[in-house]
Parts: sequence; structure tokens; C-alpha cells
Amino acid sequence: MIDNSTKIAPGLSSPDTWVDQHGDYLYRCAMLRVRDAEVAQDIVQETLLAALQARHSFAGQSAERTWLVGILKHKVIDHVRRASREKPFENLERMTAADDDDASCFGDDGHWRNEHYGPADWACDPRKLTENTQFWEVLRYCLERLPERSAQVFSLKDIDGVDSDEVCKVLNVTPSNLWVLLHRARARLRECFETQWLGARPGERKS
Amino acid sequence: MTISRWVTDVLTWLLPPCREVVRWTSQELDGQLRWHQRARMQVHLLICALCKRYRQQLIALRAALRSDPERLADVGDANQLTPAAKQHIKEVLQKSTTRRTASADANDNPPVPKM
Repeated sequence: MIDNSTKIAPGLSSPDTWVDQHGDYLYRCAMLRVRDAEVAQDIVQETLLAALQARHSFAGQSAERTWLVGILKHKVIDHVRRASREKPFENLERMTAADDDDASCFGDDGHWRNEHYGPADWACDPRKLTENTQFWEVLRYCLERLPERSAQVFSLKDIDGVDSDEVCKVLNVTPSNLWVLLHRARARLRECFETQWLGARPGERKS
Repeated sequence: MTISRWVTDVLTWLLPPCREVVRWTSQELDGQLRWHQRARMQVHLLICALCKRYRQQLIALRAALRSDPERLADVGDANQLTPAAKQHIKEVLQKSTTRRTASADANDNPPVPKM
């Protein structure tokens, strides 16, 4: 009888080549979401192992890499779920409005102190941002600088588009905590992006 | 006095501060705004260019990320698995393949995942 276990589904390359072909890419996908080199490496390994076991069910509807990234996202969620159980989000109730990062932007009346404290003009059409490679580099730079927990929340919700109820379950937080976490992550990311983007652009023009 | 207090309260309610609007902007992205918050925000955005810009920027960042998130993994080549890590993963995969093939040979059947 033919051993089906070594047969490869059509459209898939040999698993022996996966690490060389996709390893670094998957690692970067994982790093974006978990921010810890060791954990990211484990996730790549788990992803490829799971892919190896599931390779017969590869339907060929997506590219191999897309298929692997899909598995990776599930592994990331598993990891975040475990991590949130071991080290729950704490003290969120305490950390409300007063100690937000943006507190200093606003005056006592709750309005922007003046236009220098508010968001700056990015000097480009926001809808055309994605066409610019530098946009992705700056965004990545800033995502890497989000605190670990913020990065988890942000990547689940805004990068992977996981449903809010599901994110709450995975992170083991209440919906109102989720909104606080998301608001902070987005505010930080926006601010970092702005600083880096506007800082980077004069150099770009010179070259 | 009571009336002036009442008027102040109504005005504060009608004209939320920027700090509040910035928060709502984030909630709006998740479809979490109540109708009256949305209405008050719209009025605020008519008169506040900074909050309007903030909102456009958040929307643009999110739309960009949602449109093609994996572009983020295309950049940042400095982030790579170490050669040792790659070797380790290859060995783990190899071991897993061998084990599965061996068990298949033994049973003369495709392996059935246990548990």
C-alpha cells in the first residue's frame, strides 16, 4: 500500500525546503505579533510542524506562504491566550484617563493645548500611503516599539482583524479594558509614525 | 444659578473636549460608538481641524494595515532566524516526518493522528 503520509498535496513544495523558503518571513510575521525572539522562533516551529501534519488538507486555494501565515496566526493566538492566562492584564481599572500617554497633549479643558500638540500634517494623501515602501518601514519600526501587550492587542485587532469578542476572550479582558488598550496602542502608534515619518521625509527628498 | 449650571452642563455635553473625541475616534473604528456620541463627534469635527486630522490619520493607518498586512513582513530584513534556529527547526521537522513514515510503515496504513 502506498504511504500517503509522504505524499505532498499539489501546489505545495517539499517540507524540507520550507525553512529556507519561508522561515525568515514567518519569523518576521511572528515577531510583529509577539515581539520576543525566542517565542517567535517557537511559533515558526509550531507552525511548520502543524503544516506538516495538515499538508494533505492543503486545498491549493491559496499560495503556500499564505497558507502558512494562516496557520501562524492561529499559533500566535494560542500563544497570546496562554500568556494572558499566565500573566493576566492587571490594574487596567486603575489606569484610566489620567495616565494616558496623550495626557500632556491636552490642556485642563480637555482640548489640544495648541496646534503644536495636536496631530501634524503628514504632507501626503493618506490614501496613497501604502504605495510607499518607506511607509511600511516606518510603520514596522513603530510597531516594534509598542510595548509587548499593546502590540498583542493591536496586532490581533487591527492587523489580523480578529473579532472584538474573540480578542477579549483570548486576552481575558473586559470589553471596556479592550477599548482602553486599543486606544492607547493606536495613539502611540500614530504618534510614533508621525515623528518618524516627518523626520524621515526631508532625508528622502535630499537623496 | 441653577439655570446657568444647567446650560453649562448641556453645553459640555454638546461640545465634548478633544480628549474625549480622540477616544471616540478609536471606538468608532470598532463600531462601538453610540448614536449620540457619533452625532456629538460629527459636530465637533466640523469645528476642530486637529481632531478631524487625527481621525483621518487613524482611519488611514488602519485601512493600510488591513489592506495588506503582510507587507510589514516584507520589510525589516534584519529580522531573521539564526542559522542555528533554522537547523533546529529542520531537525524537528525531519524527526516528525521520519516518525510518521515509520509508524505508517509499521501499520501499513496512513497514520491516524492520535487523540
